Amino acid sequence: MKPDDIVIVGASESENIGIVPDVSAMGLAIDSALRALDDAGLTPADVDGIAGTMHPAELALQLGTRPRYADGTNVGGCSYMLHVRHAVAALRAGMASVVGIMHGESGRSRVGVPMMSMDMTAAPGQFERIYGVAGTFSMFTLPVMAYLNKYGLDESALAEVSVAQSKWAAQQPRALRQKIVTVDDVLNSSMIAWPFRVLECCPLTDGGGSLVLTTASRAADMDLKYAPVVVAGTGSLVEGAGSSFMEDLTSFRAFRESSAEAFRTAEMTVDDIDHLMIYDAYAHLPLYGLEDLGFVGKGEASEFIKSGATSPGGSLPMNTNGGGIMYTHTGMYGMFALQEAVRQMRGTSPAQVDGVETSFVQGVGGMFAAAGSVILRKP
Amino acid sequence: MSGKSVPSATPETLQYWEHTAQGEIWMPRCDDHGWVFPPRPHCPTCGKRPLDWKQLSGKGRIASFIISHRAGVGYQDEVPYFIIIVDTAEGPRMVGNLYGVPVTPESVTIGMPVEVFFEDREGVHVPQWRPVGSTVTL
Ligand SMILES: [Zn+2]
Repeated sequence: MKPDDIVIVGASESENIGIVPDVSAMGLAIDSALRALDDAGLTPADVDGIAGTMHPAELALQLGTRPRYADGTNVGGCSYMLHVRHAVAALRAGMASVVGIMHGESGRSRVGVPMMSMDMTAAPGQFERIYGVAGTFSMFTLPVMAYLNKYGLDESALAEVSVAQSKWAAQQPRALRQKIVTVDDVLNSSMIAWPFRVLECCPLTDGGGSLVLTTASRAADMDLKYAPVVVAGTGSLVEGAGSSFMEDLTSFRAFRESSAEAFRTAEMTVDDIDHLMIYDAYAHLPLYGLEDLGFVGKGEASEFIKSGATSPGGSLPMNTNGGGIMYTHTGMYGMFALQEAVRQMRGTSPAQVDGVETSFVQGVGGMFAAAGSVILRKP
Repeated sequence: MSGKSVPSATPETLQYWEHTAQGEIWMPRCDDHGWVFPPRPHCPTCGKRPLDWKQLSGKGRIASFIISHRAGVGYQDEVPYFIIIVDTAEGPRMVGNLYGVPVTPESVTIGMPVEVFFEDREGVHVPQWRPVGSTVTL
């Protein structure tokens, strides 16, 4: 085991998530940041390092700090995993003493959101999106038939993911979708991009979430509401934009290498992991993730999920907030996967699993464009 | 006018789109490391530049697909429609739509042979795909 040198002392979502038409994207980020700071008895003036996908200078102004460390890495929804990874390095190097990682998105209500413009000169713009790609649901999903065909699986393999996660979401009062669903419910829900039904796709929501990281020695002097959560290991890999450009349509290299780096730096293996979060904008991602992280063999993930292993009472509780598909998905969901992992380590999740000591959080960014991994554990 | 998106060529990809306007697919190729797609002026493996451009056969096999039930820009009259990934006979993987078969999951198998044809979008000729032997056009 590595020394408990870098810890999470603050973690909070915004007061409200889901449909929040009366707060801007920035407002959601700042609300969650103030709540996260409150966990550690800190104020904005204590924050000398910031990270987020929003413009760092605007984020600094709005929070009310003049940080000497700023990280504006944006590789999509797993950016927050990379922010954690970079914050660990910055804290160890003395570039900052308290780092706030902030997320706010008004994905549903579009309050305070700049106009999105699609870059039609970039590789995905010239060679993918021109083909009637109406949203991520018809491009992020595109490799899946190669996967299902390779292992002789059918549409129910995807449905099982939503079924298992709905059992967790039913225990989460803040989840947008709280109803337990069956395979038939999922397969009978409206078609979005065959083989994906609406219950296999994330809903678009509003929400904020923030983390506060510091060194273990600094944390020892803080008045903490919760025991600190140790960042045991991290990893990341940028694969490159565009799901058709991924090296192998049936396995995500960035999942494999990012997770391997996290295991290596944490000096852990899959056998050490009690709780798992795999970013699920769409239902195929936990299948790729379980296999690419090494929890199951190739082609075995859907059978593993169907067996109940990842459901309440199972051996590997996964996506215990209900996942992006059931809980919330603001657009860049990674922060919410991290929040649930911290809650499980603190023992405060509404769907708390008894006895979990470690959590692996796997993020994906863009459409199979990047991956970030964070391993958390109790001190 | 369908209003479908027109790809914006850059100086680095212009040759690709000039060749499609002639009804052909050409891509840069490194003698040591093979095809470079999306087109770039250098080999991403060894950095060699410039690269020679070579022609592909326009034949391939379906590697993956979805059927979109939501219309992308300009596709309002085509819903539902296929979006496919093609493994070209030479290797590079391309995205396109599939025409010339009923739009049902049963119409397509992974590995099904397809051939390219071209769709004129405001003078830019976009590669599209149909079963080998089909004469469907847009
Ligand atoms: Zn080369």
